Formats: sequence, structure tokens, C-alpha cells
Amino acid sequence: MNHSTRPNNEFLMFVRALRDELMSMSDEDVLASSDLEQLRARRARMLQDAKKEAGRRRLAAAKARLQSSKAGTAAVERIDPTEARQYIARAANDERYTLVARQLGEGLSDEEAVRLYRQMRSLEQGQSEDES
Amino acid sequence: MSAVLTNPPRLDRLQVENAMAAMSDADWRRVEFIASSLSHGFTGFEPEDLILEAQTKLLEGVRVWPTGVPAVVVLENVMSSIASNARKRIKEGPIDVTVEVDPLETDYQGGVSAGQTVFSRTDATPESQAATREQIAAIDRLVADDADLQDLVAAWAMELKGEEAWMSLGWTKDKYEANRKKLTRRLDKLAFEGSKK
Repeated sequence: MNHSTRPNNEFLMFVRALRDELMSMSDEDVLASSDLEQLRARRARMLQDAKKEAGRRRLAAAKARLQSSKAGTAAVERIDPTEARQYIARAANDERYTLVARQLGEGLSDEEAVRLYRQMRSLEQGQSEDES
Repeated sequence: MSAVLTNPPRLDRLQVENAMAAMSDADWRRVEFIASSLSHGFTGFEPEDLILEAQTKLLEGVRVWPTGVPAVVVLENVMSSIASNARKRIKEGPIDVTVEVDPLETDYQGGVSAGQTVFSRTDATPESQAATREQIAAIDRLVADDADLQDLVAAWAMELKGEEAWMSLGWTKDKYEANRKKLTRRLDKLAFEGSKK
């Protein structure tokens, strides 16, 4: 069933009543004493202005989203070498990596530790995808 | 192949643009009258600013145009929401998004499927209510020289419309329609023409 919630003040009720009354008035009455040429020019100008402004705002929002997305990606890619080493050390007890991890031992540079960490994570992801 | 087609709940950007471009002269004029009254007695927006901002938000996709709802209803809905937020901004500083009208809701009761007609406006802070009281008072002053128009403003402020309004006022339909026309002209004259300076 249709029902409407009344606006909570007289002014908004007035505006709503005005709107409904205008919609029930004939086009002829609504346009009485209007300069149609001016009206059409005004309408065309405003629609053009609105399109330009909407385009500008959409572009600004897209740029902001892109920036935000880049920041998020960068955060994911930053890997702490210490955490990477701890991960590799834990993997030494994992039968999938025991041989590799023991062979590499503790003497990894930061870059090597991060690279190995990435490889291990990638292998894990590949394995879990195969299992699923 | 599915034979069931349903209308999407909202117009896409191109459809919004086309719907605006396709508005009749009379509907555009109706929107101007509404913008005039929303702006009257309020320094936050000129009528043209209000229409422009509403169009922009619809084209931007920030506000939606529900499928099947007429242009006048959609634009009134968005303009009322913008004016409501502007009143709050002026009175309180930063806007409170909770006063936004839900863009998918509308009180429009004609030609749209049932269940799509609940429309809530929660413009309920003491400051914003004071601002709207000032606006209705400004409209009342606008018609202070005409007792019939004052009565009509009072009826509309109680959301009495059409037959219910003229019966309540004890008027004939003709008298009601003549005064309705007079009131809309007066609203337009003072507010909308002021925006064209």
C-alpha cells in the first residue's frame, strides 16, 4: 500500500503541496506570462553547466579513488624483511619447505628474504588453489 | 533465454541526461517555481543555484533518479534535500548527512509501483526547524496584503491540497484555482526574478 511520510515541518509540507498543485495545474496555466524563448535558453544553459560540473566532479572522484587504490597497493607490497625472515624460519618446520629453508639458513640479505618470502607465499597460494 | 525483463530501479547517467533534456517547458517552469519557494527567505541558495546543484548531483550519480518517477518530483526531492543540508550548514557548520533524503525513496504516489513511495525527511534539529519556520514566515509576509492567499499558504503548510483544501477553506474550485495561480506567480516574482540579477 502506498503511503507517504509527512515532512516534519510546515515549510516542507508547503513545498510539497506546491509541487503537487503545480503538477495538477494545466501546462497553459503554469506557462502563463512566461517568456518561452528565455525559458528554453535558461534551461539549455543550466543543463550544459550541470553536465560540465558533474563531469568535473566525477573526474575528481575517479582521481581520488585511483590515488587511494595506489596507496592501498603500496601498503600491501611493503614487506618487512624481519617479518619475512620469521616467516621463513617458521617454514623450516613445514614439510613443504624444510629442505629449502634449511639450505638457505639465516644468511639472507633483506632483499633475498623478501624475495623468498614472496616465492613461498606464491607457492602456497598456488597450492591452495590446486586443492580447491 | 530469459523472457522476464524488469526495469532497473534507477536511470543511468545517460538516461538522466536525456530525461532532463526532454522535460517540457511547463515542467521546467514547475521546477523553477519550486526552487523559488525553497529559496525564498533563505540566503543559502538562489533558485538557479538550487536547480543547477540538483541537476549536477543527479548527473554525477550522487543522487539517483528512480525509474518511473517524473522529473518534477525527482528535482523537487533533490532540491529539498540540498536546501535542508544548506540550512544546517549555515546554522551549525558542517553538514549532517543524516538529513539527506534517501535518494531511492520518494513520496510520489502516481504511476510508480507500490512499495516505492515512502519518503522521509528528517530535518529535525531545532536549528533547522527554526530556519524553516523563518521561511514559512517569509512566505506569509509575502502575502500579508491578501487574506485569501494567507489562507491558502496556511492550508498548504498543513499539506491540504486540491479538493480537501478548497473544501476546508470553504471556497469553490474556481476560487481555489484562481488563488493558486496567484500565489505561484507571487512566489516566482519575488524569488526567481531576484536570481536573475
